[in-house]
Amino acid sequence: MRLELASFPVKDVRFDGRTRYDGGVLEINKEELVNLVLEDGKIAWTNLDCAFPTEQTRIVRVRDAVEPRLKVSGPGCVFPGILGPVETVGQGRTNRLSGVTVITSAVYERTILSGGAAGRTALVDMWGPAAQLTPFGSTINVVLMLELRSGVTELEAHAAIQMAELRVAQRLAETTRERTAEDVEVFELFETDPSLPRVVYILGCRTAWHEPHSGVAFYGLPIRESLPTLVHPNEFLDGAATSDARRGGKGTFPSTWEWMNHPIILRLLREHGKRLNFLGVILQRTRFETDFGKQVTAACTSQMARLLKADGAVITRMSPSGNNFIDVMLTVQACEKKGVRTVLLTPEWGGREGTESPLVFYVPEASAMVTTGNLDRVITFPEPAKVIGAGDSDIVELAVGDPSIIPSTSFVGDTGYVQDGIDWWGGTRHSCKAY
Amino acid sequence: MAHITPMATLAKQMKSNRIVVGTKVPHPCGDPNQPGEADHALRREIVRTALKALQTEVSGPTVFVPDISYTSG
Repeated sequence: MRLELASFPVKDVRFDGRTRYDGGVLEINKEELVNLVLEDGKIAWTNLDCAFPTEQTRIVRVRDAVEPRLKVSGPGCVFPGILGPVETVGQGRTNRLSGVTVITSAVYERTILSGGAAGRTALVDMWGPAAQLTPFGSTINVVLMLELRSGVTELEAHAAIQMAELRVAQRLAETTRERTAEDVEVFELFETDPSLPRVVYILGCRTAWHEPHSGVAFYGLPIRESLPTLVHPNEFLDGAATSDARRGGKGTFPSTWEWMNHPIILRLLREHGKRLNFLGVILQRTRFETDFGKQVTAACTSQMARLLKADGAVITRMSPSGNNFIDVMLTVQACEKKGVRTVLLTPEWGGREGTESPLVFYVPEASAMVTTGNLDRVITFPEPAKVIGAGDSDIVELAVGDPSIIPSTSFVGDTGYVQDGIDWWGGTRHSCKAY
Repeated sequence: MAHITPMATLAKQMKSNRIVVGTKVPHPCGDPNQPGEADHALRREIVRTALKALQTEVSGPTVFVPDISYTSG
């Protein structure tokens, strides 16, 4: 499986003329995209705006983000199972508009009003301390604002928000079809020097079986209680994994953009044949509700790593759930017992002072870990010059139980307020140090 | 004190003295997915084990396992 990922960098976005990409400028015909989105009868209102790095702009009610990509050759489409049939992706050529995102800011009437399944939102600041926490502080963000009609179910809300977001992203990426890419990177798991260390990536994927959407979908299918599956890393680059578009927000779950630009998958692909032999990704569903279930997933996942003859495994998680973390730690232990050496990469629970127990559960085998910072870091969000996604006097709730914010003002919050503000996969330079 | 939890390993790490193995993380004392009678029997056995644990002298983290068969993940 060979995938060419062709980059078309975007240096400016303008809302005028027809929708096209030329010389690094993405022009968007707003009316065309509004009409495209309104084809879905569940969407009552939509509009588009754009936020640029260093501007004093705050985007609120953020549900998800994606990178505009288009499959130009090879099987399937980008976002298989959602925008087209289920076909194994990760081959041929995919175009990407780099440096630009589609961020979705959506409002709907929730029917689930409490608990983890309730819809939630996050924010993105284009300047100040919060801009450094998220990849979206340094990308140009096309913000798709949506208001859904009343009476939609939670799952319908997810589908409407996601479909609008993906179709807009696909339309924008269409502009690259006849253009010349600035850069083409090739990703392939070719035969390597047999002396290189064999490395597998165990991607712990926290999902809930009882929620309208489990949290993460693979080929459009929400992942519920299931055993691990082996995935070619290129599949992620073509959008095989997507987030619950009702609650990509509140920073605690990675957005779809993160799944498409997964820093560990990209790095392991780039090191393949140089420093290591990348065997593939074990997508491991975690957060089993019994000790028994946790032991089964740990046993199966480590067995898959052993059958692949892995010398080592990189292991991560993607949720602050302590329940979920036990599955991850048991997997570290099971791999080590089978002779697969592990590195666990995770942020820490340090508490607001940074002095609390950093991990709820540990095993002696977890002897090599990488920290990506404190989940609970406190931030003062400054007053913005412009708010996208809410009126100046609107009160916005991020998640059930959190204090509401008035987006046009300054307030105190934590890293979780920021969309993709928690670094589950090591994409930023955040860390913790003892002093 | 007796500590009913589905995560006995974690309770041991936290140095709970009397650990009673429960069912699920969201429902440590039963299983609402089972018919009422079966759920009741589960709860009864877990609470009985906890009462027995309370009457047992221990000298460090000790795990008490209720006599239940429970296989749902």
